[in-house]
Amino acid sequence: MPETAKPPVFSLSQLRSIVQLSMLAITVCGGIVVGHYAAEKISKALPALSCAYDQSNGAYCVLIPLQHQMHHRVGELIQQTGQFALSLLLPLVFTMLAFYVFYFFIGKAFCGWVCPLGTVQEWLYSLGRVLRRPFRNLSERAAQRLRPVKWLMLLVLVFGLPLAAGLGVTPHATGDAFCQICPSRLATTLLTGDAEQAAIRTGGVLDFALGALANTLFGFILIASLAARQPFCRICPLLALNAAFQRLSPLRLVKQPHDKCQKCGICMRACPMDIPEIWYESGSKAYSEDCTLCGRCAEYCPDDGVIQIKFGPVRLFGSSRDYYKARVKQESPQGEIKVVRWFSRKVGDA
Amino acid sequence: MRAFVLTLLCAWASTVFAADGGHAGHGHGGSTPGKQTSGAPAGWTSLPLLEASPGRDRSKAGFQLVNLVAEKVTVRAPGGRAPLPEGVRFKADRLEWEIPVQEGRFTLQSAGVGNYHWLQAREETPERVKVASTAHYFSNPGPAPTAMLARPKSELEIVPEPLPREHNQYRENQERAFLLRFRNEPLAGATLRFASSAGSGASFTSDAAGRALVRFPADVKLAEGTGNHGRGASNRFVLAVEHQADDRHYLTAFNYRYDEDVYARRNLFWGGGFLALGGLLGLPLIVRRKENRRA
Repeated sequence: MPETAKPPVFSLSQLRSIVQLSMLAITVCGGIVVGHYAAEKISKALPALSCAYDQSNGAYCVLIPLQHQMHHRVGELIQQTGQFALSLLLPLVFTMLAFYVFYFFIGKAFCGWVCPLGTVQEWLYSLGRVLRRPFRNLSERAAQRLRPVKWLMLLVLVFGLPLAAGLGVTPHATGDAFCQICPSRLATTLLTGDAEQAAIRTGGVLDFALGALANTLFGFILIASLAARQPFCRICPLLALNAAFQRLSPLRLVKQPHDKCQKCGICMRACPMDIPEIWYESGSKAYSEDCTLCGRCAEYCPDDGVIQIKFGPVRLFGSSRDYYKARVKQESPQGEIKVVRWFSRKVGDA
Repeated sequence: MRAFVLTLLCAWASTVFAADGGHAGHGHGGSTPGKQTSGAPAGWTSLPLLEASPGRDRSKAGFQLVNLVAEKVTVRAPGGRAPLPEGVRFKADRLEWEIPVQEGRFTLQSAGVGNYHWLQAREETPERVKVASTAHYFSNPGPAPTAMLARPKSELEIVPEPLPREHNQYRENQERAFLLRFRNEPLAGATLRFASSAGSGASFTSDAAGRALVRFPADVKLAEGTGNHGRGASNRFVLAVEHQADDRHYLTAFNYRYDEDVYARRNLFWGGGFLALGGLLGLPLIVRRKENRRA
């Protein structure tokens, strides 16, 4: 007689939802508690898209000081002095050190557990399941082709254009080029009831163009999130920055080689970033640059201990057959929520 | 159909460059881009001011005293601790110092630590005390000005609650709170006078907690283009409160600036339009395609 799997008392996804809700409150309106000014924020180099345009936020995204420093501290000084010195990069170094203090402990889980835009996209996707919208995912080839985009965004929008603005090569409006198109700027300010950022600047052609691009991108993401998982995360420059440091954090994803993996592939179906390496690879290769450490692959792996999330030598969560059986009864790997059974069905009942 | 909609939206977008979007209620000023609008003559108020000279320097700023005679100006930088002794003080760790005034002018050098600096000049006689105060922002690292604002700096004070955050400003049509204090106690029922360089005036009354809500008038004339750091036009303003105590008359003023309305150079209609365009582009993803089943 087969045993009925007991439902997990508290799943990793439920824990993650609670953490995401808390982090959303902190990043969007935490300023009410921590304070109004920049120096009072929890961090000015947070590895998540916590927007400084939100007047009541609790922490600033690291991309803001990086752009600001490239523009004002590096670019302008080079233009004024005509010289480049390594000391010009000191503010950037301090910013990255502040970033790394947080990153060391939480690593890429900032993407999957803290980022407000990631949370909004997940909630929209869940809404899409309730509204029975079709499921859209990227093919392996498409997912691979999209990967360079986030690096390009990082190099051009976060570093290149602000530096060029400081040097006087590009207009001032490109001083924070990524912020001007970032969907989190619109999402977090609208969540506080502030429509200023949603209104497009009409003072100049470039201002208007950037605003139009930002609003169009945001509108697309709002709708696309109903059907596709994490549409913006795939091209997010902060994912690229986090990926650059992912080997320097003890928090990581580990996959053991297993015979049944080749015929399974549930982990890839569960992965909101459509990462093929979690299926085909093992060891450090399975921990892809696109991974947000959401843990869904470990939740939906049907074999014990194959996929684990570890902090150094300490296993924080690992795949388990019993957990998988119970989890898959609640929700499909693609996120379709199933009928809740208040009473477990006994074998032999009609 | 999608191509038609896109073409229509592009044609619609091209009209924005000729349209006067969102400027209802404002005239177009002829002032130099980026400089403060001076709609009223230099003597736009009889209240004491510490007026900043035009221009932008990351390490220093020039000021002049208006309607006030003083030999020195006291400067306070952010920080909650008492000034450190000379021997243990960091080179840039200055919390409070004085600047001599020469011919009514002085130059403020950045402390190097802390962004908002509070400036205060005092003219005192046995019968009256007249104080002018303002704040100046340097782009420095360091503590927030919260503790500095909380510390008493004169008998009668106007304390912004709070000062505009970094990269933010007071703006017309906004309501901002100011705390009125006398000897570090809230001053209830006091009249706070407001005057702007554009000629507007108003008065507000503080509540039981000493807070007065000041609404900035919509009187900023838009400048052509944008100034330094992408900023638009602004007006100067001064707030003043008076109080009589111990046979002495106290007058304290706080002067600063407020910028044009947030929507003066922004258009929510266009914003919503492009948001809708983005949504339209995403629509095919959420529409179920009908599958043709062949028998």
